[in-house]
Amino acid sequence: MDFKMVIDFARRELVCKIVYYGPTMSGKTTNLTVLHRKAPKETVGRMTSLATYGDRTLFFDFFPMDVGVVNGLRIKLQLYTVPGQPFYVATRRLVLNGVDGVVFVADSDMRRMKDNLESLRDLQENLASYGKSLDTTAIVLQYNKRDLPSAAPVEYMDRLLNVTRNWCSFESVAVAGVGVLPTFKKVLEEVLQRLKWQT
Amino acid sequence: METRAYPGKFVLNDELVEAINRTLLTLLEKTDARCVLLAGADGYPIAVQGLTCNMDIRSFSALAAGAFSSTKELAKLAGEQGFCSQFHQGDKHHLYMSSVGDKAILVVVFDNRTTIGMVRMFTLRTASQLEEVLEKTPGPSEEALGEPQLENLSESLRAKIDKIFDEK
Repeated sequence: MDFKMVIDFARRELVCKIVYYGPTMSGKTTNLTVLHRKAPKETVGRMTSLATYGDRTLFFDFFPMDVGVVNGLRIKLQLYTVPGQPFYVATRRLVLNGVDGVVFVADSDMRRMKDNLESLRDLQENLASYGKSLDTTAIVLQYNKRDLPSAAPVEYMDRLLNVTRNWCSFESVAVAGVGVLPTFKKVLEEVLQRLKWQT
Repeated sequence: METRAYPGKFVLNDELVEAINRTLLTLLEKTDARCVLLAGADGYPIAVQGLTCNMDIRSFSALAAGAFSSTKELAKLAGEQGFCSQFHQGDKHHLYMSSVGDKAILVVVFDNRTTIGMVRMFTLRTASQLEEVLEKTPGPSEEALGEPQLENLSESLRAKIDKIFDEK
């Protein structure tokens, strides 16, 4: 069973969990590192990286962020990455527990298109284990590593990953900090837009 | 009349937070533990009692939830639905964790002033009490929402995030 967004009216807090998902080495941890570095120290907690081996995340990276009070509610964010390697499917599934929004970080390298597709399919399956789907979850696409000479055209990546769902997509060079913030803002917007009264 | 709710959202109100804190405090006293923490299954710290000196509660909760979920997967591989509790033994400090239904995790940090037997007995009992308390979490109602306006929250948050990152 899924455990969804926490609204704590006693403390007037809204807590959102955002997960950066995607194939191995696509730049998920880099996105988190850039956000953590750019945010003022008083708004973010310690960044925890678990059992990294070389550049690989083996469990998850995580940091909490306190955005402050917005419209009378204190907004707190929990930002996570998942390990990208196919082998760690169980770990990815557990990090998705309670997820409110997903940034899918795709690798623009033409040779990685199959990995992108497999990771997206993996996301779909893992969301399904919590009774969620790609259509009911707030998802934003990020086409990372746009500076690569071997980068696939954006139109091609759109056709491959985004043809039916029309998610918002952003081009990025996360390692240089380009495109990280717009992606982050958009996923928050998508999450909050789903917080509407249902009649 | 229109019924309004945020389906599936977990809501805490004053009454529930008070009930949770009271239950945690009783557990703390009975076990003589250093601190007790209730974390959501998603890693969000819900309530904590006891001495947490310099402990990063948010990271602690996220890691506890991660460890618990990880063990759950191990249980499945071993042919179990899940393990309801786990114990980590250190030299001076130890951890005992118990699931609270499928919604939360109860974590007790204790030292050699008490025993694992005491901690296990009272923690399991408390976990089932807390499960009942959390079962009572209401679906958010318009009434419960009160002052904070979710309308335009997205726009306001965007402005706030812009401010946070531009201030640097």
